[in-house]
Amino acid sequence: MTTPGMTPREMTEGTGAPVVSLRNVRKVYASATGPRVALADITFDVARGEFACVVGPSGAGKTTLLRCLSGLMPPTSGEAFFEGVPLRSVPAGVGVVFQDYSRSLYPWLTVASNVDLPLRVRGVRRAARANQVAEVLTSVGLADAGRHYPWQLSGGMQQRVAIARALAYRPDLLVMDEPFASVDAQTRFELEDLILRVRDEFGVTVVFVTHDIDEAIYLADRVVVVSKSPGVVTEIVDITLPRPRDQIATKRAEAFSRYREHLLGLVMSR
Amino acid sequence: MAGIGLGALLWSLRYAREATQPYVYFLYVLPAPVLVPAAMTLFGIGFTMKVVLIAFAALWPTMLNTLDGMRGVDQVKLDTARVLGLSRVRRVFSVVLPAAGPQIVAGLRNSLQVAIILMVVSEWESSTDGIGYYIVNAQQSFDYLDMWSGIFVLAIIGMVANLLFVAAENRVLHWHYGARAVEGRP
Repeated sequence: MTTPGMTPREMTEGTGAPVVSLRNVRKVYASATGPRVALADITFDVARGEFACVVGPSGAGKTTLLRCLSGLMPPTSGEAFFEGVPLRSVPAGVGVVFQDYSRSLYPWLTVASNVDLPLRVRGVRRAARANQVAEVLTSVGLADAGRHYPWQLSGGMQQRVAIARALAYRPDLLVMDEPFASVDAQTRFELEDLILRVRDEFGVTVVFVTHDIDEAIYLADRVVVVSKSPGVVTEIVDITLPRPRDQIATKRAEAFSRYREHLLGLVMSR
Repeated sequence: MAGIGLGALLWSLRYAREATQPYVYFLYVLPAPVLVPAAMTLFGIGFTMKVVLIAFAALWPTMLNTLDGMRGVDQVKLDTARVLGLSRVRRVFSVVLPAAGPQIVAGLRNSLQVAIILMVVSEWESSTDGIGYYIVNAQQSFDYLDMWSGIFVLAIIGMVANLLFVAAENRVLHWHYGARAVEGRP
């Protein structure tokens, strides 16, 4: 794998290439009623260490965008780059958390085995794997859940398992597709703070897709607004709210409301 | 085993699947007992004939269920496997086959029933020993006590086979039943 004590992030640091780079990405699906343009023309970069949120109305092709930028699906035209290299498949340095944890976790494996799986396929030694699994489970607050099966846990805990699995192999980039859309509001706030914390701890670049504007402002360094299908980038908004962020203080700030108003205007107007 | 293997093979080879589909269904709908006479002419009367026939008939339910189960695996589970870096081979063994497990087991259960039916039928038709022969022979010599005993023994054999099967199933699929119980489905 990597040199001990050195994350892939540190080894590639200094190359200066953005972690994610989309250039005129266009995606057209064939459908029974003729071709359907999901993404018309998407161009933006995400710098190393940045937390970028992608917001847009439902049906804006947010999930399509995510599949293109994680290498799960090639764009029809345009190009997606990961650390300066054109994407042909999912690179080893990318982790993805899907919206529906009940579909992405493997129910026939225990929590620990789910988290262990990406380490095993990367050929990490058994002893090192056990340590890494325990470490990452502790980071997401599930130190004691390793022997359970995912379906024995609550929804919020299952999504934590999915986050732990995506972080276990220390990816450079974490891509999240509306990860907190199917948990209750309170759990959602907890998970938002959790993701900010592990992002600092693991030093990972994050692209976070959501339809919730408050969530996007709360989490992001930059918010990319995508229009309704066919998707184009409407605007990219820098969020300069101070960190660390706090569920009460940050959301009460006047700047927060201004961002909120501005972004809502952008999303609703189309 | 051959059923799972063949089902998996057909799943991985799309063209083979489309090409063989009509024949597969043609053979599948054929009631296997009518093949007893054909099997007798091909393999004679005896052990080989029985084994070939049982294997042939028991193949279909498992094969078709395996194929169906593998085709029905959730796209999110496959995407996840790609993201986690699983190779093609590993995706099949670590994700597709376990996910198709419940349906494969349902196929195996059908195969077991078919196998027992064919065991008995093939013995009726063409054997000088075995439980099927015993039952028919007793009936034809008006020995009803023996006939009923034969049927009773057969029921016990079926029951034991089924119990063993269920025990194995609970071991392999305990996660499936656990998850279903949590979701509140029967």
